[in-house]
Amino acid sequence: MKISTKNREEGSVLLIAFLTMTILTLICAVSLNVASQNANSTTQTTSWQQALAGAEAAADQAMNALNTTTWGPTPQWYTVTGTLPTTQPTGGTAANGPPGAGQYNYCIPTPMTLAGEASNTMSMWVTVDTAGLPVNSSGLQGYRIRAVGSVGAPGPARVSNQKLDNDLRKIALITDRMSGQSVGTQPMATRRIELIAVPVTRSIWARGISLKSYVNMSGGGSVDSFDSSNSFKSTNGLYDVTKRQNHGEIATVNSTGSDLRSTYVYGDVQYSGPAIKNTTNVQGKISTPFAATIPATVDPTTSTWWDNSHDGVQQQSYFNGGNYTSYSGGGSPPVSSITVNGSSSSPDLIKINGDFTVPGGQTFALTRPGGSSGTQKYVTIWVTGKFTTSGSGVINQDANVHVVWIVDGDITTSGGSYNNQSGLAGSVAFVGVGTSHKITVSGSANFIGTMNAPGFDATISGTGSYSGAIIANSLTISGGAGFHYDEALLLAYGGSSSSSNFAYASWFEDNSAPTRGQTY
Amino acid sequence: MRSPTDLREAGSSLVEIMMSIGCGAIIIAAVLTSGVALQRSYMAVEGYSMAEGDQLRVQDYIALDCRRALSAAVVNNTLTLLVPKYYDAAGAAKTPTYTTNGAIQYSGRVVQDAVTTLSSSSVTSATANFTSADVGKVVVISNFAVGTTISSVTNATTAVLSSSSTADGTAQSLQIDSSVIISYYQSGTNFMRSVAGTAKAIASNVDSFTVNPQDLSSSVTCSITFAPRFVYLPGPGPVNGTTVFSNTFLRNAGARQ
Repeated sequence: MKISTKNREEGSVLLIAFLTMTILTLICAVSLNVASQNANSTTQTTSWQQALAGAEAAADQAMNALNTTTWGPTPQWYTVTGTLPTTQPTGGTAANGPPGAGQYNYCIPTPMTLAGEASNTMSMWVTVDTAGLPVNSSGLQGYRIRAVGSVGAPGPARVSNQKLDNDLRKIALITDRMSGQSVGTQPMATRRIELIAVPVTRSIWARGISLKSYVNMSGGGSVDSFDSSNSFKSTNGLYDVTKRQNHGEIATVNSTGSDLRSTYVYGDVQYSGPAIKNTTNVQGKISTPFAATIPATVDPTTSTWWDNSHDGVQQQSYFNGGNYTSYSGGGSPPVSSITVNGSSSSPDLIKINGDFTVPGGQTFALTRPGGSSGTQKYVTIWVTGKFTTSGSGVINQDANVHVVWIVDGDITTSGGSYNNQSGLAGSVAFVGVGTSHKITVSGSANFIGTMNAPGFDATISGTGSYSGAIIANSLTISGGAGFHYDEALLLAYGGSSSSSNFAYASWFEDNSAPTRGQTY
Repeated sequence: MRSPTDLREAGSSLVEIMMSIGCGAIIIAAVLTSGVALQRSYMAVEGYSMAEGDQLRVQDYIALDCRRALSAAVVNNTLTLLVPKYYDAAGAAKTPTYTTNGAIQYSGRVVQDAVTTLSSSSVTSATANFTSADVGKVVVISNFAVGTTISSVTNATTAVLSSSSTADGTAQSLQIDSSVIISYYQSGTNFMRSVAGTAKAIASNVDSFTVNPQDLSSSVTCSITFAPRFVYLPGPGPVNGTTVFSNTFLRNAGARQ
């Protein structure tokens, strides 16, 4: 009998070859599948991160429109009456200003072209509306900015193999989670952010205390605010502790050496530099940096004088001023009384060459002409030396007189020796010019006024308080002295009812999935 | 009867079999070695991919929540964030409003007459109208720690909170159930994200987690070290872990102006 050995050998080779190829094919397939899933996960991650950049770029377009009041033509904004859309808006009329109540403006910026791997296009759209927000305490409108950025997520419409990613990166594989619309064949990464833009006033009296260097506090005093123009926040225009407000802000450009010693501050504290010590009792927010530039003060010239705007920037033409008089300074007032007859636009101009001193037992009066009851009068007084009231010396300033003191030397006064009969900080403004000078406010009576002296080191002591606002190089508050920022200064001097600048008040990203109970 | 030729063929097969066995052994050894190397390479790539995914996920989670947080706190190396609830129960986006101090809030019951007492966990309000349904809800109020909740309700005007007041206060703004607490912390080798008390691991193989508690008013810095997933190396010595950093500006808590 013949055995067919050759036939069996040929069959084994074929089988082994087939099995080997099958195994290799399976290995390749699994490897390719895993590699593909990893690639899919990577592209979804990058698309998700790029989508935020798109949304923020769109929000920047909105901030630019608000700040520049430019609503077209590049890019063109449109105004639509109705509620905010959940899908990319259409229609409307060309916008010519910010939206009013019940309206929204929208813009669809030109999509950005991306290069390289992953998606190659980033699209975005943004809306601006009032969101029913009331105007703020300065009467200015805030706006809601809602921006959406979308980037395609290349690859098949399948969930990431990084299972834990799915709660974070909500890639739209079939439908968009916010609009419910189909995304077609291209999975999308879409992110939506919502910002509240609030108007920012540019007055130098936007806060109570603005400093170039340290702030030191001790004793039982505190920093808070009130509003002399609001009877709910003051009593007869004066500070009332029972109506205390929480806008006693402190800001310093260089906080080196600052120590609040756990003194109560009813407001925010902003600083640049090392952390301010002992801020336990700061009732507001503490934040850094405070990257502001405090403008320097300058003496009047033959062409310009300080006017009564108190904003530290505006000056009036000397030649448009009111009556001009000059005196020689010294150890006593050059005259016992000055009758002020200037107007707000043309205040009287007085120059005192040398020191202005009201020694003990003497008085100096700033009055208004007889028969001018109720008429506000204005004067600007330039003291080229020191300003000093000492002992029982008193300056009596009529309730209807407004004065700007420009002082080139040390300023020494007290609440008891400066009788601001209006009781309003806006009626007395000191402008300190130069550096390495001092401001000393002491005594048991309240000083009411403002001081813009960025080169001066200020000390507030005694049991009296300071009502108004101050700009100085440094500030030391000791004893029981309290500092009360008058919020009325914001609008009265420099605050504007028409805003020209906006800042973010809140920033929120909607990563929610309401249908899954995620409401944040 | 078999021919002599057949016997010679049988003798040749023995040599061939031996050579075949030798060649086969070499081939099998090569295949096994290649297979092992391939498997290790695959595991290394897979481990790298998983580690990268974990690192990116942790960073993105923290950045997302810090950016939108109203406030932040660090206690015992746990980062706690307060994030506003953006949608109402019906799934509609809420409209923001101002608080009395000019801050933005999205939701919740808000009263402006809360009274706090130093070192006391009680808060009173004539208008809050506390009910037992408020127990467990998050509150936002000055002088209390981030993440404070209502522990119990004494009556309609008094509630006991989960932390104590750091100062006396009157006419305070009190927000009830306007926010959700999100916490990040390490639990064993897992990195946890807790939302409203429900924790979930968002990364594994975590060796350490550190939160920088400085300057919480403007930024939060976190570092997370991951233990290596693929530790086989031909050379001696330990395999270093990977540390990733996250430094996020608190956009709702810091100065923006």
